[in-house]
Amino acid sequence: MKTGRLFAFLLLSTSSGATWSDTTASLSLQSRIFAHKEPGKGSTDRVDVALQLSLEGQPELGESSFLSYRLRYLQTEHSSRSHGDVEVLKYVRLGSNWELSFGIDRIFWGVTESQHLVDIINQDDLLDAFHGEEKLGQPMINYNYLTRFGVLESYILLAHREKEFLPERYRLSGHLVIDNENPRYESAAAEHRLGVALRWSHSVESWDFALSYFEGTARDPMLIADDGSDHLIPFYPVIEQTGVEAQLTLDSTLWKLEAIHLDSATESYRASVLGVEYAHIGAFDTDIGLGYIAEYHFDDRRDEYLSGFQNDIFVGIRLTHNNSASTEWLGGVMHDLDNKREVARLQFETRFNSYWNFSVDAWYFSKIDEHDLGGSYDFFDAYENDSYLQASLSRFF
Amino acid sequence: MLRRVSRKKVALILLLSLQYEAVFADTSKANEAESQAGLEIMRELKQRDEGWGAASVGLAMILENPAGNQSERKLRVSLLEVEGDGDKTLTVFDEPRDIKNTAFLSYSHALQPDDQWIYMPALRRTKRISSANKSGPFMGSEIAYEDISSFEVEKYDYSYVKDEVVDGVDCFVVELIPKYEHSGYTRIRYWVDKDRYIPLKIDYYDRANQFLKTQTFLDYQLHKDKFWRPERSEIENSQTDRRTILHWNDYDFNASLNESDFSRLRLSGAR
Repeated sequence: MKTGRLFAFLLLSTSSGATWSDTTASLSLQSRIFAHKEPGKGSTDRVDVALQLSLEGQPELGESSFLSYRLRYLQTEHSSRSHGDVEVLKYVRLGSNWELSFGIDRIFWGVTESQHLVDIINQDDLLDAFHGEEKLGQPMINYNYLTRFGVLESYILLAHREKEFLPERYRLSGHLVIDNENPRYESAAAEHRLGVALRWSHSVESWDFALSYFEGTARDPMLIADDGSDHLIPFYPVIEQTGVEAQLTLDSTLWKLEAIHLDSATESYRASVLGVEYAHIGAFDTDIGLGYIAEYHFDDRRDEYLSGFQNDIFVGIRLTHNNSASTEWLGGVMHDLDNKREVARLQFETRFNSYWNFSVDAWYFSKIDEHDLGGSYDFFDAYENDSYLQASLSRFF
Repeated sequence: MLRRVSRKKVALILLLSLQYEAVFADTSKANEAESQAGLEIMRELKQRDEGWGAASVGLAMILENPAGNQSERKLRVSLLEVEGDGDKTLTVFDEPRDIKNTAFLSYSHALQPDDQWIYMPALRRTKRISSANKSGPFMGSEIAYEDISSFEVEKYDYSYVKDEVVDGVDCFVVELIPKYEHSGYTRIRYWVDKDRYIPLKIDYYDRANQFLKTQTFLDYQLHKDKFWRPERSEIENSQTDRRTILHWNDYDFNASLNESDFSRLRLSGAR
């Protein structure tokens, strides 16, 4: 596998000693247990185990240039889920107020917690995590320029990465039969069509805001039923997305907004997330920090949609022990105001010592009484029987 | 030229205040004098430390609990002196490994809340955070965020208490009362070396005015013929019996850093 060879290459090249201290490697044992046995399906273990290896570093190459890399490899019991990815592998050249990089990178845009609307550059790594917070690397040329009025980011996105869906019989696959092998593209250049992205961000007093623009092949495909086949075919249209991010930091309260306008040949829609986060320290006369989060999601494509955030409210609590083990809890519930579905998540993490970490990620999907799949598909419909808890033990090197 | 004139000024003010007290028994005037004296001392302390421009230093932090168990943090701090405002600092973590390359950017201000951002490498995300919770512990240690914010004269009200000898060194004892909001302290007591105008010891009193913790500074070294910097510091929390030990290494006052090195752009590439 290509990634395996890349791992070996990096290990050899850095073994000259000069850059070893800059490399972090981690090995993580992830075990998942599902709440329900899925009736009548194939590979539906209640428990599964996976091993994740990651390697990252930022060796300096000179006074003003460095290399940055992050590779991940997941080995699971089920071969379709096992995969590796080069999330970051780039060469960066720094100037006094600019930086130029070539290669593969992971870029994050956004300010809200429960959904990342504006974050479009990277493709979701669905094999790794169904919720899309893990991403695949994106090949690009990136130039960032610092001005008195903020930072200007510009990207030329080389090559489009497909969204790879889990086979239908897998847990957390969404249980749709999707033909990963034959995606279709609106552009004649298919996955080689170049994309362009721009973002201007600035910080003024208590305000942080950004305006962004993306033009290229969509990261989320439309799933179309092909006559004569029982599979759904992913179709990638060319889209334009304009985005806004804003955060107001007032005392202990953060006010946040993300909004996008997305245009393609077949549709045009707006979506936004409005949120607030309040944090205070010294709860119960200790050093414990408590944060409260509330976010409202809106999408004007109310009916048919490959996402579950048309009219939803998220509430969450973050509890930080502020101890030497950096123990932290984060719990939240997303409530769909239309169909009353609830999706809840609880995360926990702590450090045992300098090398060992332990974390838990638990998801609960509520069952809703009536829903009509028909021609429309609500993202969370298919997860009803997939509530699970994942415990990970990680070793850092 | 080191300014010694303010010591005379302090002495004169005290002399005058004592005379005043003797003649008029007017305590509020005496307090004003103590306040002025305290301000003069801390102003001198600040002034003697001005002009360093930009610097970087490595820091190892050892957190110790009452049982004697230790955990270590390693970080690298870059600092920029800003004319007419608080310092800018960029802190990058090296250890523990799971937070390697996590970075923290802070623009300190006197009475306005500091502007702060955190960079989380796992998510590649830069987030602006609220600095109102500055009384909270930094990285689980006995140091609070407000302790590492740069010292600005406008942040406090002052009161000169007395003279005292600490480890054979003659010191001024000055009480600082935070003027900024959300401080975790009612008052802070500084022992300032009369000769070099550097702090040798600091006692902190919590919101209930109970004695909370004491910080000592050890092994001061002179850099660039002007700036005194400690090699070590210990903070003992007398309420919890926990201790934090700081070791600074590799002070670099020749760091060619400027404003753009402390911009948000530099957070994600920070090493």
